[in-house]
Amino acid sequence: MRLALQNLLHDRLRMVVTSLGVAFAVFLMIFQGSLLIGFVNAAGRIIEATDSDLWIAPRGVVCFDFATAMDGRFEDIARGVAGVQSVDRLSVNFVDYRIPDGQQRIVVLVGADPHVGSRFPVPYLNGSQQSVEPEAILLDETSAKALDVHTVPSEVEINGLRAHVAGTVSGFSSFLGSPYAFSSYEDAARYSRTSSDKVAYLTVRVANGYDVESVRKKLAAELPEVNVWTRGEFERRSQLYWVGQTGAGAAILTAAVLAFLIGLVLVSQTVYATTLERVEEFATLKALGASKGFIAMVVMVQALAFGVAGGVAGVLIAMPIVQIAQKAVAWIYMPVWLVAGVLVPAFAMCVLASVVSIRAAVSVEPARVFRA
Amino acid sequence: MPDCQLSVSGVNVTLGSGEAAVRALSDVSLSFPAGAVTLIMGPSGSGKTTLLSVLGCLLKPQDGRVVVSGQEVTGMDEDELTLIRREQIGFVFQAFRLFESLTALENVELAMEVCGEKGPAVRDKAETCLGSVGLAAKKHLKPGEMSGGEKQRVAIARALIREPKILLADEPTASLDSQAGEAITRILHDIAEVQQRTVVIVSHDDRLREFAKNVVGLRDGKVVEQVN
Repeated sequence: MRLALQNLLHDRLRMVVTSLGVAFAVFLMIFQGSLLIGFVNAAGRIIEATDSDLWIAPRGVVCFDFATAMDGRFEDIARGVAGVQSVDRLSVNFVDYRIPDGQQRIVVLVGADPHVGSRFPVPYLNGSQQSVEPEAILLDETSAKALDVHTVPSEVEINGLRAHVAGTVSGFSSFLGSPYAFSSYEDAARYSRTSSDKVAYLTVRVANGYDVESVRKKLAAELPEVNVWTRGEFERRSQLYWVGQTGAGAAILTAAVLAFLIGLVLVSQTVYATTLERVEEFATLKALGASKGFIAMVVMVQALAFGVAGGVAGVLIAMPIVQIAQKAVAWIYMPVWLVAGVLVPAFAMCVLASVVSIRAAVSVEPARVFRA
Repeated sequence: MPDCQLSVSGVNVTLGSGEAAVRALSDVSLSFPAGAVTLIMGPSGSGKTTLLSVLGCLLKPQDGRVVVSGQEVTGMDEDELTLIRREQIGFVFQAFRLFESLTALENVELAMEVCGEKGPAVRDKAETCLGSVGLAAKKHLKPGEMSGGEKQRVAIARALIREPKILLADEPTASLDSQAGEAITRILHDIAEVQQRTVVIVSHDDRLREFAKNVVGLRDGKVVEQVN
């Protein structure tokens, strides 16, 4: 398809402008998609970081962050159910965080028993998972600067009680506006002054050889006052709540869907307009005896060339911009599959637009070749 | 009477519809012999270009018959007409209609490529065609680097590469200076007389009369003059 490619190379300005149109559409789709995926991931990140098979949560809980309290004796009941290997406690509370110069912030304090998960942030003593450092909290690295923590350890107060920032972790930035802080379960209970006979969540690990679903059913039967979910189920519930039932999530979802649709329309319109600009050439080809298949191939190759050039440019633009955006919106996340997930429909739209364009190209009146 | 490759009889063409409808050709019957240049002349709006479109199988008349190389094409569908154009007819346009992105050689090759033919044999043939119009040395130039006369010669080479029996030229000298115009006219004349092809030229240019064996005058879509 020498003609198609030579045409593109000959009119470089048009090639650049059209490819930029496609690139902008691809960038828009990737950026908004990254925001949505990052938001969804952040909504389930803490749940996902536990190694548990099951979660026991109070009735009415809609997501991890907005926990209510349930009876602490459920822990002992759960331990007694056949197939339960271990039970760990988790708490979530909004607390007052104060640095030595008196500045205050509200943070979300997450307390957890040791061993709740190898990827779960708990301030272990000397990095060993055997014992937890007392009065210690961990902050996400992106939150540390916002909370004026520049060195560790750093002395702070939580609800008027002494604490120190023992270190930072990554990947646990919050979209709530209040950063996460992680401590041991006991410290979290003390800082938030919650009763020792109350607990927010229990996570359950199922023993080898037992079916997770059957253990879940047994726990649900033993604990009819609470919810017993698999980890994935609770994660999805949390994500669905944030995306579907909050204004922020709905806005991000809507923006992502709109960006996707606008991107696809931009791609198709750009390719279509470019084809129409070459209608005289298609008339000449028809006069020369070109078949419809030949003309269709010219249009298709040009459309795909725009798709490839614009798609690659869009990804190359999106990558650094998403990285820059991470400084302001730490949870934005651009997975590789999103790039594929955007490029495939973008290419498909190029092909679809070329199909519409092909109709215009092959139906051009060949007699127009005699118009000077 | 020389072999007749192209003829029309009783052709009527109306362009547009409703109140805007214009009778572009009215009961036109003509034969175009091989081995001769036929010049179609007439003022603007007389129907010259419409007649050329009908002869080139680019426009279907509402009435009448069109016969190309012994085949009646009037009832043919779009694909069949494409094949007729491909195999039987070459075109030369006033505005050259070369592809700016391709070299002279590639432009000539394109007429074969659209039929799926390419390779060294096609390249050799394209070079021969360019040589026959005196452009062998400029085969690697693009249209933007050539004069109007050179572009028109490339267009003629492109029209000839498929060895059509019929060559239709629409105002081939209109965009050229007098010297280049005369050179192009001589080439077209030789194509008709030496290669025994049917050459039909539409033009306002009276100077072409001396090269034409037949002259057809059109006015308001009707044949008003026919000189053999």
